[in-house]
Amino acid sequence: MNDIHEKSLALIDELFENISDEEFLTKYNAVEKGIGPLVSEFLGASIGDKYELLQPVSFDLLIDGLHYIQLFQSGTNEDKASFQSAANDCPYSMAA
Amino acid sequence: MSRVEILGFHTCKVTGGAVFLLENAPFISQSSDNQWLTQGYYFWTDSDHFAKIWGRVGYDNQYAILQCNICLDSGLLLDLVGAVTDQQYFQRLASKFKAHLVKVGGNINGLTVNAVIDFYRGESERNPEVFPFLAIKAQDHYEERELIPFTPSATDKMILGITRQQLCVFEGGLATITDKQVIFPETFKKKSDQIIEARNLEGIG
Repeated sequence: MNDIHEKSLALIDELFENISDEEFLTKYNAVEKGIGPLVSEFLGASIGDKYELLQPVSFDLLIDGLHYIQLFQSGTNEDKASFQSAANDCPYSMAA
Repeated sequence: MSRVEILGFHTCKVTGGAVFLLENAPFISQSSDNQWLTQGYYFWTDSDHFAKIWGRVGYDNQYAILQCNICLDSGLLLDLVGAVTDQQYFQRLASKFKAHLVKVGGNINGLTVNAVIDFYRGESERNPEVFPFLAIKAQDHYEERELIPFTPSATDKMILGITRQQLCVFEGGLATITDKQVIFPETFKKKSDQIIEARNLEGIG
């Protein structure tokens, strides 16, 4: 990710640290109109589901590693074990 | 910062005629529309293929197509189709939003892409750096497409078929939309071409 992304994410962290629950939920209720795809559909429902079911590796890793997910869906047990080992060694930070 | 130029195709009603459309299209989406990338000017990208399909389906075949160039700094485009870093970033956005919604006891089951983007766009009104984009490009999975292995022994597969890509230019990015011409229906195209040619002869942009 670039500086624009990093700055944005830092500001968003700050935002979520300071916003009250009430204000956040009010804003969320105002924007959630049920239009278009769900986040889970857009990012890949299987990805999100498998993330929850597997282990606490980084959400980033799981999404970035679409290849990783595809192997789990279609690969051999040997493939899965090999990729799982690589995933465990990944230096990615834990999900936010 | 590099510039990005995208060929866009905007489908709209034929109401008003060629001159009106050339002057006034594209039209910003309304709250009643399925504006899943939030409110903005919507385009199909690169080809008029889906613009025509949308015209047949969404406008009962009574439609026109406006072709445009959308030109902007790459940093102002959130490209969820072709930029892995942008995809990574959006996943982080969604993840943070989702985590906070869970934290405050909200229901995440119906969380939509539209809501996530709309929330951050709202926050960017106070600080543009929160969500500093003028446009978003995304694609949806519109049908089952054939998977074909990369090699005979590969387990990894490539998805065959064209992707349905949309570009949403926010209202603040209107100035990025240039080189407008009506390309469909044919009668409108002819009129549009005449007007543009006349402008070029007169030295008008």
